[in-house]
Amino acid sequence: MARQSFSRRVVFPIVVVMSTMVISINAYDLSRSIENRSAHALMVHLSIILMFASIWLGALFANTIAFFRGASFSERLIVCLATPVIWCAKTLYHYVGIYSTGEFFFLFLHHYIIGCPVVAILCMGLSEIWCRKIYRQKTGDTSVRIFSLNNTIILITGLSLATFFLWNGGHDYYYLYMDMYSYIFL
Amino acid sequence: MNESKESIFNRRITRRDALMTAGSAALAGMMGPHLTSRVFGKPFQPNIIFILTDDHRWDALSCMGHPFIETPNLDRIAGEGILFENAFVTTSLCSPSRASFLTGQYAHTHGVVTNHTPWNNRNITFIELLKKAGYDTAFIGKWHMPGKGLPRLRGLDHFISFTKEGGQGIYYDCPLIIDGVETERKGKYITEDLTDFALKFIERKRRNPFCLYLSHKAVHFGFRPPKHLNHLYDNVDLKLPPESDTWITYTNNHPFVGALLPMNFMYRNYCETVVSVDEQVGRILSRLDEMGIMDDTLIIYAGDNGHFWGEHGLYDKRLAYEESIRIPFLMRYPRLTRNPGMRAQQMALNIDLAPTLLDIIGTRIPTHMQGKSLKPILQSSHAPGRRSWLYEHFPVFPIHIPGITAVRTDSYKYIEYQKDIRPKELFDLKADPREKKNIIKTQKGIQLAKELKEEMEKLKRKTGYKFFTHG
Repeated sequence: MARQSFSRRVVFPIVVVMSTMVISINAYDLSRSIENRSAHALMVHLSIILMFASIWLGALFANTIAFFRGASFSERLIVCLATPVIWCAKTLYHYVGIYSTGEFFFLFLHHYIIGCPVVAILCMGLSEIWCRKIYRQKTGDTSVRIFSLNNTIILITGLSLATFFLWNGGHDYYYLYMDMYSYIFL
Repeated sequence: MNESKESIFNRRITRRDALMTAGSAALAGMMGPHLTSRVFGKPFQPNIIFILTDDHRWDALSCMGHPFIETPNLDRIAGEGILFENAFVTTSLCSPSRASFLTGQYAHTHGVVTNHTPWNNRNITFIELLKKAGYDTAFIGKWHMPGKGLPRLRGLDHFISFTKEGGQGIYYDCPLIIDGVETERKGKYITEDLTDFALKFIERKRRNPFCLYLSHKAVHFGFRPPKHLNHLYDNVDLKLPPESDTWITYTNNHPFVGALLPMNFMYRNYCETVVSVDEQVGRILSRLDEMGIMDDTLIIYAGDNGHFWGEHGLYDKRLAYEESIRIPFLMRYPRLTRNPGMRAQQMALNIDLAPTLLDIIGTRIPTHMQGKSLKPILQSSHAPGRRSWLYEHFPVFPIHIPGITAVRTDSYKYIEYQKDIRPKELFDLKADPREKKNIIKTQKGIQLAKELKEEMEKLKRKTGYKFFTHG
């Protein structure tokens, strides 16, 4: 696989997913001012799909682009985590000044904050499977293993952590998290 | 002894005696059944039933003009009693608001400032004071204040509650703690189950008047109606505000509130759950009718806070906008209400409940209570109401809403946020009831903000306000 330039193999996939997120978030917020109900509904549904796809599933697309443009494993990891990390930062920004520094950092362990990069890792692991499969089919290069050590670790880590944080909509973890919060801060 | 017996039983009755006896009887009859209270100045002590629901906003009643929810039993309370159209909570959050109802105090005074700060059992509840006044008392339903298990509330004869899910309870199969004994309730729907216990308490033979505090889990999240009402509103147009949409619960940090389901789906279930509450209120009203004690009973219905359903692009509560802070507040007590069906415009607060009850039964209102008795308004629609009041909210981890203080008058609302994290807001409630235009930077707004800020500071001083950084 030809290794393309840094901007094409790393920056480009990040920009594609992140700009989708930025545009969809703004489109969603803008939709509130649309008075025509049909146009409002269309804008809402379209923007929410793109928003969800870019924030939570963006790694599926970003990793695929980066993989076929020759990005290394660590570069692909950065590509996959960039958008979730920015989204987490945006989310956490709304908390600045409300709670103590300790509580602010404890927020990082909230399932919606930590869950997003964890899901990105899971998505990366999943997309690695099809990327490697397609690559093997296209090139006939069987030296590329579908379940390499790196990919297997990513897949297992993503799957187990996503299950831990988000099982039952995060409900079970939430009570554990709040018990920890009470123990530490109250 | 014999002489006196003879003098009583053998005495001849004169015409004067007969007239005097008949006159006294007629006079007593005209004075009604509460002769002693009228002669000696002590008011009749009615039975008291206070029904508190969770997240029931002020307009989710048919008597408040809701487009499709039907609440005939709550409408009956309003129609035969009084409906406070401008009723509010001083903190729009479950635990602080509940403690305010019980104590007649602001959250910063009773100390339950968020859903995480424990109840201080040194707080004096109106139930304790009613017990001292000779009432039989029962607390049935949602306690939901932090602390280790349930507190040993003073003045309670019966305490039936639950601690499941941090005190929130669940709609089906919610284990109850019945006078200290944890009991499984398999197959029971909680609103009906709690009402069953309430009816048993009401029906008990007794000499004293009773006070029942019936506090439902409904209509809180997960908004689960009973099976027979499920899908009742599947095909209705929800008529949510134009800025609302079904995905609001997934955006703008709303997932931190913990309700990751489409909003329209939740709203339908919410409305159906409101109907189930109304049905259970109906059971209580019917039983009071059958027992012939309806008019001897003061019935009060309230919600612990409001709820956003997409207004301002928001979901949940906490903020100082109308949808969040306004509650249904109904009272029925024909012995006091001069104009049944009256719609009071005076601003009533959750902290007014405790002093109102004490005032009605003729007990001194303790000075630590910060609310005002609504008894004068029950008696006359022209009774003066309050000029302004203080709203307060404290940060609740892990929600992104900062501390809030606001002052509301009949016409305006001025809102400040902790450390000015968000810009100050001022709304003209008469011209802009949906609070869409912040007029704080207009010429009129600048002057008004100054006056309202002064009023807010005055209220803070008067109530001993202090800020709690977190809960």
